[in-house]
Amino acid sequence: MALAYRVLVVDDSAHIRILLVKLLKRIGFEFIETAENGKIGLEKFASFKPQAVFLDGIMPEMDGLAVLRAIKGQSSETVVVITTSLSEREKVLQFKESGADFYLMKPFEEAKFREVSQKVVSTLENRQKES
Amino acid sequence: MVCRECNTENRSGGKFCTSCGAPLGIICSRCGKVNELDDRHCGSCGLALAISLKEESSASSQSSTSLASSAAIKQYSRQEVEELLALRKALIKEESSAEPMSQDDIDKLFG
Repeated sequence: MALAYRVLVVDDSAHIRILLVKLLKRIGFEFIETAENGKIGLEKFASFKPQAVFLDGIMPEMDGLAVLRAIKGQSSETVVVITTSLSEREKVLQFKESGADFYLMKPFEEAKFREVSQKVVSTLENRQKES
Repeated sequence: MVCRECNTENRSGGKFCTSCGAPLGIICSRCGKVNELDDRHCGSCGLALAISLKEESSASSQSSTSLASSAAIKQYSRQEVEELLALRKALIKEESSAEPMSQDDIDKLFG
């Protein structure tokens, strides 16, 4: 099923960006942009206006937490999925308190990615109905 | 903190090298703080680290009865006990915040 939502993938690893785009396309997302660091991610967020962002936690220029706070400061409706290897409780809570909607630990299985992506789609659909 | 065994740069606060597993410093037996190998007193609670090491070696080789007569055992005032308990509580809280979470725990948190 084709999904018309715009999705931005922000990750400093080219391999992860390629993998996430591939998985997102398999799920049905058609409008996908990528950024290789937090700074470019925010620039693309402003121009592309994605409804969902898959955001790496550790990146050069700006880390995921700073990017998340900037995104949520501009648009609290944007669904943000943190994709990171950070698992310390304190870090996870910081992302949660800063407005992250979902949190996916790397490395992940495709099934888990699909599960989280379905939650993203459901959240976007619900927000669309409410507005 | 740099490991003296393998020169790996470790994150501050760690007790053992993440690469080779060697101890990164002298662990205070009273409060658990990791001190530099050449520190003589604990930077957190002030315990003489020579005593700290002595307590460690004593604990493994002596019975609790003989430890009671050791010079390393002192009488604490109520205020000191309260301070130590507060310190222990803070250390437990710090350790729990650094504790890794599983994806299942994270899913419960995010719903």
